[in-house]
Amino acid sequence: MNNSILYQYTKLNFNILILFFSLLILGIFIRPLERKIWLDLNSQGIDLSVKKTNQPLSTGLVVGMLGGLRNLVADIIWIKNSIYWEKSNLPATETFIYLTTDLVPESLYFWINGARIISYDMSNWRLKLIGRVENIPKLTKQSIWDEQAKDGIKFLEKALLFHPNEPLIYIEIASMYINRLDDKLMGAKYYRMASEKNGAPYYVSRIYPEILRQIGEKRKALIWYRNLYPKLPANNPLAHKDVVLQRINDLETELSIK
Amino acid sequence: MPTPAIKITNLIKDYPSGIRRLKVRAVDNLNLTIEPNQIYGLLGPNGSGKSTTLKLILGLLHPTSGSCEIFGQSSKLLISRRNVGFLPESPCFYRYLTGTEFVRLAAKICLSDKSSLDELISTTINNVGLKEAANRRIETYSKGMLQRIGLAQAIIHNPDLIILDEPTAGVDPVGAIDFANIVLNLKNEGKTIIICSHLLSEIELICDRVAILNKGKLIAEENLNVFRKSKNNKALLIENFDNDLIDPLNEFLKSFKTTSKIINPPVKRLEEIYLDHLSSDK
Amino acid sequence: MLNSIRRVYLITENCLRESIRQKIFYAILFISIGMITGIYFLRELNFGSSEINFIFNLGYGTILLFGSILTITISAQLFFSEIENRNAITILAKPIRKSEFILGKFLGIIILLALFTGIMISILILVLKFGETKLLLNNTAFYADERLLNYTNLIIYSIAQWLKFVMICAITILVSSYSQTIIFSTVSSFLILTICQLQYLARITYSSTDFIPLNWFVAMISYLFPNFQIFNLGEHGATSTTISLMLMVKLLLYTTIYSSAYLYIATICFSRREI
Repeated sequence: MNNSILYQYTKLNFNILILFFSLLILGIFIRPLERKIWLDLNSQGIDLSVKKTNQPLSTGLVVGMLGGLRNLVADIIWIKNSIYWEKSNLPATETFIYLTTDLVPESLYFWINGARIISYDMSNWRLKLIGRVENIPKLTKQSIWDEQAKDGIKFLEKALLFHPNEPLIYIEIASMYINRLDDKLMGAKYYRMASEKNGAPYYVSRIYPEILRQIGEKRKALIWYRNLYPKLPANNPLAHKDVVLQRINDLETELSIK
Repeated sequence: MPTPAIKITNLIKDYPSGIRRLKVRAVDNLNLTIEPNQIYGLLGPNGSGKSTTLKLILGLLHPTSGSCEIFGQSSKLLISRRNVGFLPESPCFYRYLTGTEFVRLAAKICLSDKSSLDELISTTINNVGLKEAANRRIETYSKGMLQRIGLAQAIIHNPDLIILDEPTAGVDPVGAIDFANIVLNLKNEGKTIIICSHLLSEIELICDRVAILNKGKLIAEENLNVFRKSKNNKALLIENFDNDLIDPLNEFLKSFKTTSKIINPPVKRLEEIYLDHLSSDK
Repeated sequence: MLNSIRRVYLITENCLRESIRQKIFYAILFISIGMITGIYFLRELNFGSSEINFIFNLGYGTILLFGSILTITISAQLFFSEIENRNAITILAKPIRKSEFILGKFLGIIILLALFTGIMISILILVLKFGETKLLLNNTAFYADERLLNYTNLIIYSIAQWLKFVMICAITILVSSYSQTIIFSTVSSFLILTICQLQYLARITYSSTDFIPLNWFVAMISYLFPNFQIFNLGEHGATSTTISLMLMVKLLLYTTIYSSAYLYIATICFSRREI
């Protein structure tokens, strides 16, 4: 009996079963601790779940499989992308930009730089394909700028799903509206949104009223400056409190309000 | 009566083998008692169960059934190995350590008393004839040097039982003779030495008692002298022998109610010739 | 007890010495250092503060990738070389337990991994500091202090990564204690690493599915394998929030429980195998 194949198989399988159940019990025993760690991570601002990315399952699987390595993979893709960028290869660059943000939607770097490439660099590449830039009719030029800037803004709006409170994205959208689409109203709107976010650079809250001033909304600009002035710290040179005061005075003069 | 150095009782070891996990019996109901202060040879062809028996003695394997004791202590107990030194077959050891470092590691594991450790290490390395190479990395050692440093690590803690598994396999004859002399010295110091080998000449030179294993079973065990002495035979060396002498000699022996069997020119063993030549070359 | 600790210490010390003299350690170390420092000089990266995060992500990923490769290869190699060179049989024939031997090897390897992680994070911090200083000098008017990296967090992230390497090391030793070849050990360990990395995602994806057998299967996998995602603290870049000490204690506890269990099973398997 002891030498039979059945006995040997039973013995082997029994050992595997013991191992299986030991690990299972260990897993059940340790699960509360794991859950606590996960909750602690979330409470400390580290959300390691990939659920929010709303990616298709295949992408999700790749993301999950790569685990902590997806940043590395995305970075390597980005470096590779810069080679295509230097060659002005539009389809390849676009694909790689989308790939990096799919892999690591948390990285602001890929969103902002990707949007700049889409909006500014790609429009130049397309123009070069048509001919010498100075010979291209203004209308054609503007239409390409518009198309690319809209793509860039669309890309950044997607970024806002992951970074709704990131002022740098709003600033980038604003500058695209102003520099490429010549839409100062929308630009002003996004600068204002940026200035309302935590961590926004001081200069944003000065640009917004300046645009208002340029489009003739001087009264609105003055109100903004007046509200802003008391909130600015006196000891931070980046806040440029003196500049704000000067502009209040200028606007008051222009509007004859004293 | 002194406690046996090793007492093996009804020892059985089975291994599962192959994908079907069928049992293969490596040691089959072995009973063996090895008295202290002797050189004991464990003989047998490859796969006869010699190495498995040694591993069972050292507690490196669990027996399927039966028991094994070292100086009265079950070999399952850690304490039983305190008084044992072991040299494995074809060792490579830690290639990146120097000979001294390796012996120091062995000493530190076996000895809790660290006083005069340097002196002990140096003496032991000298005794095995590795003084010059002591501070060289083990990866530069020849086969013979590896065996010597292996012996040094086995005896550094002055154990009463020393187990040597194929100690001279791959070692040149001069090295083998030197090794045999070291082993004989150890015996003179009162140690018990077990040598596991399939090189019969080596066993023949130094062993007091031998056991022969085949297919895991003990097929013979005796003192070497008894093995060698068959009845009352004696060999007679006749110089300038002439074939015409055969018949008169046989007639003469008949009158003493005895006979001669094979009469051939005596042949020197190759090992002796080799050693003779080497010594004359010096 | 004291004797047992002394023996474990001796094996640890010897294992560390052996692993430090392994060529593979230096190969992986230099490749990793090359990658981290190389990224700084690779391209002109003047996009702003996110460049710092880019360097951080690359460095962090490099530590994780090469750390995992180093852990698995060196654990498997050291384990099998002990058997092939007959060191295990030589050492275990002395008054030393197999559990002490396994624990000593494990400790030796994890100290080496701590050394590796320490070197890598120090270099990464240096590169980041250099980049940050350059960035601040060039853009004094733009960047406020709150945009800069929290270097304490970087050290904490690397400790979490090291804890993960500790787990991988324990898993590799467990697989090696059973496996007969180094190739099988290495491949299986990488496979288990992937499962451990992936299992949380499977849990999230299939927790709401109506297909009960799939639910059960995923739940079973998640109980059988540890969740490695909880160690990837720096996955989303360097956050400014300081990681609490309590969280690190919990991670340490999680690692200790799992590693002890794996080493215990490894000792049982190792005791049964012929060496």
